[in-house]
Amino acid sequence: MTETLALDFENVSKSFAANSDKSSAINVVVDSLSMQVRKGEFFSVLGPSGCGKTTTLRMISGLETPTSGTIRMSGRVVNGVHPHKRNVHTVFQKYALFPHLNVFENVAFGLRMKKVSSEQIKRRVNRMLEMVRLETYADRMIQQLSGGEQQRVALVRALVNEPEILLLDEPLGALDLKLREQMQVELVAIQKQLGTTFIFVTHDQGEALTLSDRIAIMNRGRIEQIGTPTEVYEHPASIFVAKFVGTSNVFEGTSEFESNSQGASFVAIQTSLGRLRAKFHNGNTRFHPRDVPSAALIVRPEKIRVRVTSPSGESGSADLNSVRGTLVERTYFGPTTQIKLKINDQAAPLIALIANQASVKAPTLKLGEKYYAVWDPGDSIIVPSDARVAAALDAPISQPLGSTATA
Amino acid sequence: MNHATPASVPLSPSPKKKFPLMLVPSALWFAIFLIIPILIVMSLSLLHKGSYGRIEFTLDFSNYARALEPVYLKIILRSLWLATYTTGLCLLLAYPLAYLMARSRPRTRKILLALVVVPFWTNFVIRIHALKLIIGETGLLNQILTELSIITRPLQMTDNAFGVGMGMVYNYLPFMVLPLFVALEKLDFTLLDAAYDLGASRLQSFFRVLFPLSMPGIVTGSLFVFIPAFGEFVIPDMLGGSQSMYVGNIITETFLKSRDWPFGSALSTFLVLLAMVAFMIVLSRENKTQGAKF
Ligand SMILES: Nc1ncnc2c1ncn2[C@@H]1O[C@H](COP(=O)(O)OP(=O)(O)OP(=O)(O)O)[C@@H](O)[C@H]1O
Ligand SMILES: [Mg+2]
Repeated sequence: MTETLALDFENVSKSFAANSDKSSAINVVVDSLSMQVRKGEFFSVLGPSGCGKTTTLRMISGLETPTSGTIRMSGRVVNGVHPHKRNVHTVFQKYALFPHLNVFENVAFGLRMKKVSSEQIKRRVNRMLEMVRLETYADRMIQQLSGGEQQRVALVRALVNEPEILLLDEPLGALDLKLREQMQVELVAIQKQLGTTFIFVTHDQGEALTLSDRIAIMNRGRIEQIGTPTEVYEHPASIFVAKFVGTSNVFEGTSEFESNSQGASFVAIQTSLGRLRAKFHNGNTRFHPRDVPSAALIVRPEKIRVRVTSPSGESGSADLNSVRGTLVERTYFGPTTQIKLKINDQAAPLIALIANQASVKAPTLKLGEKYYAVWDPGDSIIVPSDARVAAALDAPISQPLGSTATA
Repeated sequence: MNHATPASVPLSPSPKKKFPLMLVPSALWFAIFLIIPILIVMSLSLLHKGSYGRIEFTLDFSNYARALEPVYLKIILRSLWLATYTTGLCLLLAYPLAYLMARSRPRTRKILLALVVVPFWTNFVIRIHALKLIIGETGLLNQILTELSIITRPLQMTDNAFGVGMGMVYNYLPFMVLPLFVALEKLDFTLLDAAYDLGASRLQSFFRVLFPLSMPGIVTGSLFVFIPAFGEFVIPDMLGGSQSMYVGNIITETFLKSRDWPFGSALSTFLVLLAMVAFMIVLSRENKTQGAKF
């Protein structure tokens, strides 16, 4: 099955000598990272600035050698193989276009290195420039291009070499919103058209969610979760993932097992808001409370309903999570309204998102008034407080790709 | 060096721009100490030498005819060759050093920079003497080599062309290192990564990326070395022995010993013209090759 894998990272670490001249400390930038990328996949690496994304890409392209671990490409170990011997090309974070060459020669650079005949170079470069609608710019120097045009040149300069894997290091970071959205659409279209494996680095979670087949979420040199956009959003594996991807309410506390008279079982967390519940074993809780006593309950703002009256007494209300707080903030987004309820002094305000649907009469919420926030235990997610415990739990769920490649 | 492209040229307000006041001091300086002396030398070169070094005010082109006589032509060619290989050797030695400096951490960089500059704190003649103490017939190097029984008779490293070459490279190296360093320092080294990434070997990335992008530094450094090296006379005097004759030596001798100012001026004018031609050639090539724009 290995041939379906474009890239296989096995416990790859990278450390640098710490920057201060005096100390001999080392700085672990990538920490035993394991991930597998399928051929033809649009795979994103998402993480905050400085978490080691660029370093990871540089190990794939060969510009950096791992301190330990194994990197395989199509089954072959490539640790220590010089970049010019790998069929991997990069769109660099700041493009790194050659200022002494014009657009055509920039794009032709890789083909010239491979000693491709000049008619072929002409044909392939022009086809690529047409693809990104820059065919009339062939003679321009790089300094004469706008940011978006430079970005497209950087993209085709790598793509023209028909790489097995294309690495994109925050390629849209420097573009304005409109151009960015337009380029996102183009990137996906190009990727589907060429069938190239894309490894796309970004710190923009929205971008990662909309573009990717799968996302790896990285934090401080470690991967906290790998999954499809839905998996990552609906079932975050750690507090970090829940906070980094989308907006979340996170309440930490001690976890306990609980079951009701109907035989339904729950994980209950004693939080600063009181006792909150999640359904046990519905994919949202992956462990038994006795194994992980310290945990956090996560609920997405859109899962919360806001009520004026208490739900107690209604049928099936016994298991519902319900807290009461003062409305402290209300932000109108158009299709939705976000509100913040201050429950007590210990906890951060609860964030809820209310859809402004025409058919539903939205309650006229007033600042300073008290409301109930209610959600179903099935919508709660429980994760261990400790990210390392979370990662260990996440491992069996995102199984080795070999066995799920067709899923 | 910064030939601007149409898009990056700030539109100059008007072609009939006023002469900026700021330039007055330097313009005066140039006029008094450079242009006027050159004009004097040029006019002298067209006059006639009288007895006892006196100058007769009659038009005389024979100085130039004499300067082109084989004896002098040979010396001029020898000087050209000296300047050329000094420039070449300096470039070969300076490039790796400048590259290392540009890529090292700030602290290491400061130390290396100091090592390049510190020799300038001592007088030029003293430095050449110091070099003589090392490579001279009874110098340190010969002593060590004899002591180690590697050689039996001292090597002749001074009073010949080798000595001159050593002295020239030793003295002119910093003039090459500094402009190269300045050019390499502002270079974006991710461009080298990009070249590797696109399949270039180390050698290819050097010739296709690093070298063209550091061209401004190479050109500046080469001019800084070539032009003074062409007229150099102290180093050949001190390290070349009595027979070593370069155009600089001839000119000093003509002025100071034979007191033939018109002929000395003709030789000097010749030198200035050659340097100017070299400068023009380099500049025009630089313009054509669309060198790096920073
Ligand atoms: N060559 C190096 N020497 C020492 N430290 C390095 C080196 N390269 C990267 N680092 C450090 O490794 C960490 C991760 O860097 P990296 O460039 O991989 O981050 P990143 O996730 O790409 O961040 P960003 O989103 O800001 O681009 C940073 O703290 C950085 O200072
Ligand atoms: Mg980065």
